[in-house]
Amino acid sequence: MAQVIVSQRLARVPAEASRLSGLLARHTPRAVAEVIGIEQQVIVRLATEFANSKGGLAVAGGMAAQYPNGADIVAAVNVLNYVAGAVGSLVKFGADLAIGATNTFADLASLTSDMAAGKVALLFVHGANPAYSLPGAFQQALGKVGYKVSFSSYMDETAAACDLILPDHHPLEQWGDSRPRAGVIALQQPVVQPVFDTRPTGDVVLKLTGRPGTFQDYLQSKWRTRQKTNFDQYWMDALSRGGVYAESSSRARPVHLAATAAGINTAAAVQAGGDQEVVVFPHPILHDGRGANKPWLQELPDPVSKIAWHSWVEVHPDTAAKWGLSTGDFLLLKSPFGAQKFPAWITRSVRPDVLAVPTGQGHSAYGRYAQDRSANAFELLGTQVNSYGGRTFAVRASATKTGEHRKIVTTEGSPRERGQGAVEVLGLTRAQALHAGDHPFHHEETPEYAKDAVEGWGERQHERAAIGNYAGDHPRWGLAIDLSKCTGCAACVTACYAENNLATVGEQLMQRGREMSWMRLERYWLTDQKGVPQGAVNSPMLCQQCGNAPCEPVCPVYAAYHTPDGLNGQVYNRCVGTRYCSNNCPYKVRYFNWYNYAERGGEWEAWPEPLSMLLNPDVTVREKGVMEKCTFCVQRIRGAQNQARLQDRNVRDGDIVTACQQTCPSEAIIFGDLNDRHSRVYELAGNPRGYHVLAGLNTRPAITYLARVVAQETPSHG
Amino acid sequence: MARVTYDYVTRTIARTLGAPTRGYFLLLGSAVGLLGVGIITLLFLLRYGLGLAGYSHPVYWAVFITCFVFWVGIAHSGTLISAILFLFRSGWRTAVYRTAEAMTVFAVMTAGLFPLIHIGRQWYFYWLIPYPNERGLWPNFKSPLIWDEFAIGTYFTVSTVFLIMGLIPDIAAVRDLATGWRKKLYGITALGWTGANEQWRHYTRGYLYLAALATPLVLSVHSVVSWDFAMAIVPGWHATLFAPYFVAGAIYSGVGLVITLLVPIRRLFHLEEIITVDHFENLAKLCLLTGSIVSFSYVTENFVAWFSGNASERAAFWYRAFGPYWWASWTMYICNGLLPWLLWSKKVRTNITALFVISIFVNIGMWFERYVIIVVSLAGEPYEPWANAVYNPTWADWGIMAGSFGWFFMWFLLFVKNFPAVSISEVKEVLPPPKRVAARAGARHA
Repeated sequence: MAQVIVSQRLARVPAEASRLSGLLARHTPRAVAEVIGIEQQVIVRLATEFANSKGGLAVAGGMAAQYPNGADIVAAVNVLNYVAGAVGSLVKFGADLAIGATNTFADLASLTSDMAAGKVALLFVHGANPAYSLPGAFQQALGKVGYKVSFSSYMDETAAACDLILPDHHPLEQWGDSRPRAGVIALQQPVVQPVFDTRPTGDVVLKLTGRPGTFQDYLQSKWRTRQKTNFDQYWMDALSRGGVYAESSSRARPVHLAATAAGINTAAAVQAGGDQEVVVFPHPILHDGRGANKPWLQELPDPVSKIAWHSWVEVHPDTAAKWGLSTGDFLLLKSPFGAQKFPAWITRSVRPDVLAVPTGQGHSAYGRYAQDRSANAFELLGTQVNSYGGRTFAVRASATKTGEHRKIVTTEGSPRERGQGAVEVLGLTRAQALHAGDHPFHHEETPEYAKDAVEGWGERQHERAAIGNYAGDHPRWGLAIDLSKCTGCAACVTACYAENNLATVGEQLMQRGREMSWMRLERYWLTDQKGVPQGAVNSPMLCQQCGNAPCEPVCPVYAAYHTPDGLNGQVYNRCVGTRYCSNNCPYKVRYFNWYNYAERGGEWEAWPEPLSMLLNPDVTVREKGVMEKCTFCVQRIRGAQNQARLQDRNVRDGDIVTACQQTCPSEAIIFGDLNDRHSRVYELAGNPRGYHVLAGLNTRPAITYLARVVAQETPSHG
Repeated sequence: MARVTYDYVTRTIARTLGAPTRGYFLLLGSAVGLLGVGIITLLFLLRYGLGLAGYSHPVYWAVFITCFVFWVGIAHSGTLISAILFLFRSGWRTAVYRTAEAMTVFAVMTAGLFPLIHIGRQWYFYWLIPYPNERGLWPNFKSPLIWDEFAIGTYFTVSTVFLIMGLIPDIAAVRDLATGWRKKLYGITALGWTGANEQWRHYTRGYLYLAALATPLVLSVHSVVSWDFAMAIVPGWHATLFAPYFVAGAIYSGVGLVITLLVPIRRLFHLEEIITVDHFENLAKLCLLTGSIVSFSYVTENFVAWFSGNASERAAFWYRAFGPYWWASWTMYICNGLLPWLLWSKKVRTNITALFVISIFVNIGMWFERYVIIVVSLAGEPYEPWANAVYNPTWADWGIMAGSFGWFFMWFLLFVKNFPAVSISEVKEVLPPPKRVAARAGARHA
């Protein structure tokens, strides 16, 4: 792309760029296209769009920086930024990031070799679990250390191998501060009393050094050096704001193209060890394995593969066909450092010549939810350090089919949306051409032939809405979900588990479709008209709180009923469990309690001690045999209404925040009253990108989805 | 036929009540054993929850409701044969209607258990019943499940009364032959029947009215059961065709089971001269008629799914035939759609062995019909593409189903040994009166 930009003069290329001519000449679109398998025209188009965009920025990092040639990749990306003129304006090189002050993997590698050589007599391990993430080398070296102390709060692999464990407080229980970049100091204060018999590591260290006082005193004394006068006020301000925030004082350093830039090595690094390139990537939910002991995170499906509770290896369909592999067949990956078995998940999201494995599973300790579950991808990795001191997350390995097979635990139903209107996408130019008042999806929602019937029904309903409790003005609670903002991270799903006491059911029951997630993230693959994959669209699916709900009339005991404020109430106490409501729900968002998940010591207990502390006291824990579903966090609605009543005022827009909304990092979810013309949700519900899922069934959903805008003009999700 | 006299009928049928053989006890023992399996399974379900069964989101109704509809369906032919054919004065019904009627009552008793077993909190089943309570709560009369409860309750009451009423003259007949405790039992249950002219006059009137009352129920019960599905918006369920389609299917399966039951009864109790091949042929014709209606319904259903242009409907029927459950759907299409066509042949209709085999396949086919309608429609949920599942039954599903067969056959076996399984009085009605026979014989001698 840089070659295209320079040769076609698409941007104001800095004069020094002539030094790159040798490098760029080797990377014409044609030459690159042959290597990476993307068409020449696409490269040229991308280069043009990149150079012409305002504020176009290429970001290096993530997994790519962890390859053996990671530093070269980052350098190459910065060359692109450089020729496009972004360096100095958008890309600033400065010393103000704290990340530069941390130790690198090279330090850990040298510590490991020191340990192995018996040079380490005393080892403190805090906030890390190297025996898991660096199996083999570190584990062996640990045996040579004279005395090992762990500060882990959990019995992880490293703690299990230590001589002394001094469990630290949970982060929510202790004081601390951090400095992410110059000028910003975040302050952390405890929010709960310590639950267990633990001690802050800071206190332990102070005691060891013979200083008086606690870590809290120490922390405060350090802060005192920052503000000499009126410290109390300064401290209180910092506490209430969570830290002090100042603009970075260090200015961006002017950048000159290094003479060596032309020497960037763009050839793929060659490693020995096998015929297959295997990429080990951090699990989006369990990360480097630290999340594996939490059932909420284990039960949360991976945003892309939708697999939960176990690990997998991603295989391209062509490769799978070549090897005669189907989803769930085990592959034995053998690298020079170790061998592990993973079940295959066949996907177009990896290249045919690459296999990808997530980290996170395969613990040999670390509690009942993590231990002995699936395989540890770190076993495949060695201790090689790449050019900038980081760890290499790619190895060559041999892959052999073992003949074993397992059923993948996935929440995926149909991977395609089949044109049912469950998700809508809009091409960019079409989206830009929309005006207020447009409703491009309207005709799809209610078919022409059903219009009269639907409108007639609406009018009659209006007349009947004046009976009993339903008379008068009521709010009509609604949600707006912007799919263009939704990244599919699924934080909303776990937030719902936390707020509404949803049971985690475990691997075995999840395999049988028994998960209780009131909110689920549906990931549908998109293709263009030719069937070429074009990524995916994510859509959170939850109870639509229909105005004309199919679940309500079929309940024989009125457990499913319509509240005056438009919710599809579910009275747990009244439910006898005929499950008719779920059959009649076209969105399939009702979940049944097949077992008593709250039974003490029961086989399916979801909250064994101490997890019962997770339970929200404002929400009923459901019994076996009853149906449950999203309530729009009715406890929060009633709470806000009661609060407003006490203060003798009306509920204001924004008073009520549902758990999913509260947690959404991209603010894709907005809750409010659709009858309030000044509410944010009312405004969003009228957005031209808005559509209702399956509105053609005359369900009158309270949730408006805003279509995802995608770059390709005629996306297809059929 | 000359041997078949009034006296022969009474003696032959009364002989079925004789001392039970080892074979009988073996059969009864297996039925009770199966019931035991069902009871143990039920205890597990009550203790641990319905999760032991195979349910998988979104397949929230499965084998239990399949069995429920299956048994309700079985219950249909009884009243059809005893009431409707009575009103139409079909003489051939007399030899088979008692079996059919008993089967009806026991099948309803079996069917009625399933809604209780399948609900999540079985101990609150009575919340579905409208009774005055301090909370002022009524069930939701809009829910087809409540209609169901009334339809089945009414049907059970009427068919039981009808069965007992038909039994009165027969019980009196066997009372006169019985000894010991049975004499006492029959003495009470015969309700003082003496066979007086006055009694017969009232009895036949009463029977006629009851038959007239029961007739609409034949059509209503299964129509209402079908509305459990047709009133829902699930593609594959939501069809106006459902009521007649279900009624025809019910009678088809009911007649099938009548044949399955009559063949061994006839053989074991040596009733060949009372239950003749003609009777079987007539049952086979009924099977052919209703089977053809069912086949026609399949065609209509698929045609409408295509003709409606509704993508969800089309997807549902495509999934049925070619999805992961194709084997269940094709079992149904073959057993219910193609098999009855064999009955066009008189050779098949009059071959008892062939009929017996066909009748078993009829019931396998009809069980799968309900399985396909319920499980496959839910599993292949075409509205919400993300929510579909492949459902597999577990031991708990099979345990309850086995228990239901045990329960049914236990009652049936107890019935045939303790009450006349063939109507003595009504079989006599269609025989030529003895004096006329004697007179004719005398004339020949003269």
